[in-house]
Amino acid sequence: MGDWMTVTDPESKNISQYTSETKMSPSSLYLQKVLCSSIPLSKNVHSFFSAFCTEENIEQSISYLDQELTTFGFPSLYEESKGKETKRELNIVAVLNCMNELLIRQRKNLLAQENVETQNLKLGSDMDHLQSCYAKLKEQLETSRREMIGLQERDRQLQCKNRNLHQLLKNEKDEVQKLQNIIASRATQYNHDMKRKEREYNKLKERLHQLVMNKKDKRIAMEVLNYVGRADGKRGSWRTDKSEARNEDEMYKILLNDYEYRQKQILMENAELKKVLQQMKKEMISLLSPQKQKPIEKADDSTGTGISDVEEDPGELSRESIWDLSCETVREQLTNSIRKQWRILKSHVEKLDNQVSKVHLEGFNDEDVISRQDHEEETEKLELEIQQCKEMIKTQQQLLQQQLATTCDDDTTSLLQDCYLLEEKERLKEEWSLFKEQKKNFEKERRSFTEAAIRLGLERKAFEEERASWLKQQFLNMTTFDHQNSENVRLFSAFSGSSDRDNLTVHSRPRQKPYRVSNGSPICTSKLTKSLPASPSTSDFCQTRSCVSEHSSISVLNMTPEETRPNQVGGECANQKWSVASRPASQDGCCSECSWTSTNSHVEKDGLP
Amino acid sequence: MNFSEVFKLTSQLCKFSPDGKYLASCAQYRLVVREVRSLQVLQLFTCLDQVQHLEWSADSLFILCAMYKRGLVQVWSLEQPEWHCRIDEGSAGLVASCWSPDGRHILNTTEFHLRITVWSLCTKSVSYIKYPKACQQGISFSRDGRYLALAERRDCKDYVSIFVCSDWQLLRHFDTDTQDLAGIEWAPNGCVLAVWDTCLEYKVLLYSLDGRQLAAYCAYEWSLGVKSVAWSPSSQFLAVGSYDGKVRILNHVTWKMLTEFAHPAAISDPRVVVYKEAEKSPRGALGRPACPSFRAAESKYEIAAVPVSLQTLKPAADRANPKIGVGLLAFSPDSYFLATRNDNVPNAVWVWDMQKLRLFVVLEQLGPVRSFQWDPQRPRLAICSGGSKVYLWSPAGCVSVQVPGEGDFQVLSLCWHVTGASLALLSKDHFCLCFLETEDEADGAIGQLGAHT
Repeated sequence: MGDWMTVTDPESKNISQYTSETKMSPSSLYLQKVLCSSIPLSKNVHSFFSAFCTEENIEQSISYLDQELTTFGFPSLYEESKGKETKRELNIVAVLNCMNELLIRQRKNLLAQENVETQNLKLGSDMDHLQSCYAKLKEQLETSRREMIGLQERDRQLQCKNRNLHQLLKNEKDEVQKLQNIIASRATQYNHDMKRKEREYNKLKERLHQLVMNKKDKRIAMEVLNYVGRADGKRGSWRTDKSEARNEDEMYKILLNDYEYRQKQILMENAELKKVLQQMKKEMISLLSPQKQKPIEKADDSTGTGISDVEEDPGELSRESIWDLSCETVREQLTNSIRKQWRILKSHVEKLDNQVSKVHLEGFNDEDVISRQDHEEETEKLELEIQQCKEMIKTQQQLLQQQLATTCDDDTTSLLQDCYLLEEKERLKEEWSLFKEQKKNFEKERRSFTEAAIRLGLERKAFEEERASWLKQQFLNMTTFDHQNSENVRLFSAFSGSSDRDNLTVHSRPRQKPYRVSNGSPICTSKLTKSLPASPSTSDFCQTRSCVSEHSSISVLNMTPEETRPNQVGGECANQKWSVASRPASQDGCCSECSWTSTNSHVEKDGLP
Repeated sequence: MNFSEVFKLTSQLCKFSPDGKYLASCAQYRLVVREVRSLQVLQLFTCLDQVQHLEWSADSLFILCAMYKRGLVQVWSLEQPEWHCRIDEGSAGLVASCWSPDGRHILNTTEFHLRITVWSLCTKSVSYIKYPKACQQGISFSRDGRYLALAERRDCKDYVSIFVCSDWQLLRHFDTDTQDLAGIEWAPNGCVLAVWDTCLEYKVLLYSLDGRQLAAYCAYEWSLGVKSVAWSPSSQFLAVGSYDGKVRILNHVTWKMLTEFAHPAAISDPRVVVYKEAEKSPRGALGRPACPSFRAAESKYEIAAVPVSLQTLKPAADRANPKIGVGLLAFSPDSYFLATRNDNVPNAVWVWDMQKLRLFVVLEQLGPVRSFQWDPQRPRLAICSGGSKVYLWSPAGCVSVQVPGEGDFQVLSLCWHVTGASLALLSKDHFCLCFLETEDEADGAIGQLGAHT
């Protein structure tokens, strides 16, 4: 602002002063800022002002401005002249007001302009957007149009093809027709030819007949030593009319017999069917009548007919004998009543079905689940039984075959060999698989043994060390009496992991462990070396081992919460680590394996003859 | 199962007598009659030439030996070995010869089917029947032996004549609605005659004994038609096998089709048991020493898991008598089963359950099935396929039995003894008997073997 002030020409000092004065009004602050921001523009304005008004033409310019302003509806710049003659004075207030008004207007215009410009911009961008949209849509239209044309073309082609195919089909049909006609004509021609040929053939035959038969061929003859009697013992009868009639009679008799037989059969079948029908009806009635009592309350229309049926039935039942007559009316009655009942049954079944489906929709009842479980259990049980039975059969077969194999001679075996061979093969396969399994078991046992041996070795070593230390202790005890107690305690502590007297009751059990091991291990090793394959001893061994491991695990459980002293934890850990490390990895497994192997060995014993 | 020793045979002429006591067989010009039980030679007759046809009379007293080449028929008596009878047809020639059911007349068909001569063994009388038709099955005697139905051809039309066998009197003569009649067959009850047309047209006609047409059945047109026809022993069903590979079962009340059995090459119904013959690999160290090399490998049946596809034959379309369609049909004696062979699936025998009217079992052999025959007493089917094995099927299971003996015994055909206790197996120039155990034993053995296959 200061700069601007300095830049202003001296001629326009007044104006600048005015402006600085106007600055004081709060409303014009903004205008000032705008003016500040547009320094070059203001400069131009300034130059314009300078061009418009100079020292000389102040009066003219004022009057001009006055005119201009009055035309725009501003109040006159001049004071109200009291007299016409007096020179009009410039009203500063009016000028300032006008100026302010102008400035306000200017600002308003600027704002409006800005608004318009932004709107213009907005509209321009909208326009752009719409144009692009339009272009896009146009493109789309174009593509869809193209597509449509393509589809139309394809449609046309397909129609063309269809037409062609139709034509072909028609042609083929025509062809078939033609061929059939040809076949027919050929057939007739063939038949005709055949007939012609046959006639010729017949003629020839006739001729041949005349030639051959009529020549009194001496050779055509029968030589018989003597005539034999008829099979029925009767003499041959002459052909007469009487015999002819008899033959006819017999023929009809045969036919009659046949028809009678068939009628009887059909009657029997009919009677059977009737019986079945009756029974079915009775059963239906008995089945439906108790159920009807319940739905009576519901008053279904179906039950209504049912009741009427029930009322009808006793009468019909009493008329059962009428059924044997099998006349039209009875038949109709019967079929009608059956049909009715059948309808009732059907509706009932449908109702039941609906109920069932509803129940299903509601979800499974507890009973349902239970029954399923029962089913499963039952099936399992049955399967087990089947398995047992199968095994039984197998063993029986084996025994039988063994017997047969020893007793049968070669001839029968040769006949039955294939089946036995098959059986034998099956058995051998089974045995083979059994052996394989046993072998696997043995391998496992062996591995466990080696592991146990290693562990034993370790234990032994520990024991040896212990013994050495103990001997040393003994030796020392012999020499010095005072040290004994404290040393002993320390020794125990080294094993039990705690020298706390309060914990002694607890640690008494773990303390058994080393004793046990020390007692047991030499025996075990001896057993091991002596009788590795003997399974009972190994199982014993395993039991001891499992016992030991159990104790050790218990000791761990007992101790861990009580262990607080850091200096003893180290020693404890050394021991515990051993037991803990061995427990999950091998001992548990060993236990299970050992028990397994022992049972296996039992099985094996049973299996061996 | 035991086998007899092997005897010589020509032209597969070997027949059990109807009473089941004797077995007649021909080797060249010799006729040998054996006792079935001991197989000892009972009689030995010498014919004038190589026998071409052999037939027992119904009462098992006479044997007819026909020598078509010389137009001769010789008849031998078992009761009187010195009795003989010779019928010479002379220049008329001879193409077929058969007994009448009473066993006292012989029907000879001359060459070119000029006539049928009925020779009586009781009297000097000779009857002639003119115009017999040359066809597949032109003569049919009713089961009770009372009537003879004969197909005739006169003036390019088919006729059927029904004769009373006791005095050869013509009972009925009627024309049939056929283009070219191919065969006739009496129902077992003797009251209905089935007539079928040539293979060019599917047409089955049924006539009553008194000549009325009961029904006509045509399954389709414009294609090869009927190939084989069989009555069920109960006369209840008529099975018609046709060239479209189907068997249609007609009922005896309305003579309409009850059901049709298609013979697809792929079987997918899980209820059907498919037995597949499999060659048994030669035995190793485990069993007995391996079979001698000259004998064919033994075989056994294995149950194939469905779906199974059977081996099919592509028929030559440009030849006559194409190998398609159901060519063999046989009902079991109790009418419960029907065995069929579809000629373009030559290795398989289908056995249908007639009570449930559905396929029951399919047996697939390694070779094409030559023939099969039901045990006359039980539902037991014997099958041969031209190899050295005989196959037996019963509802309990099936077995494949190697025919023992030196060399390869190729079973070309077989025939059951009346009681079903033995089975004659015929090869090109030998035959042997196969004795089956008594019923319980046999069933047990088959059951056992069946269970293991």
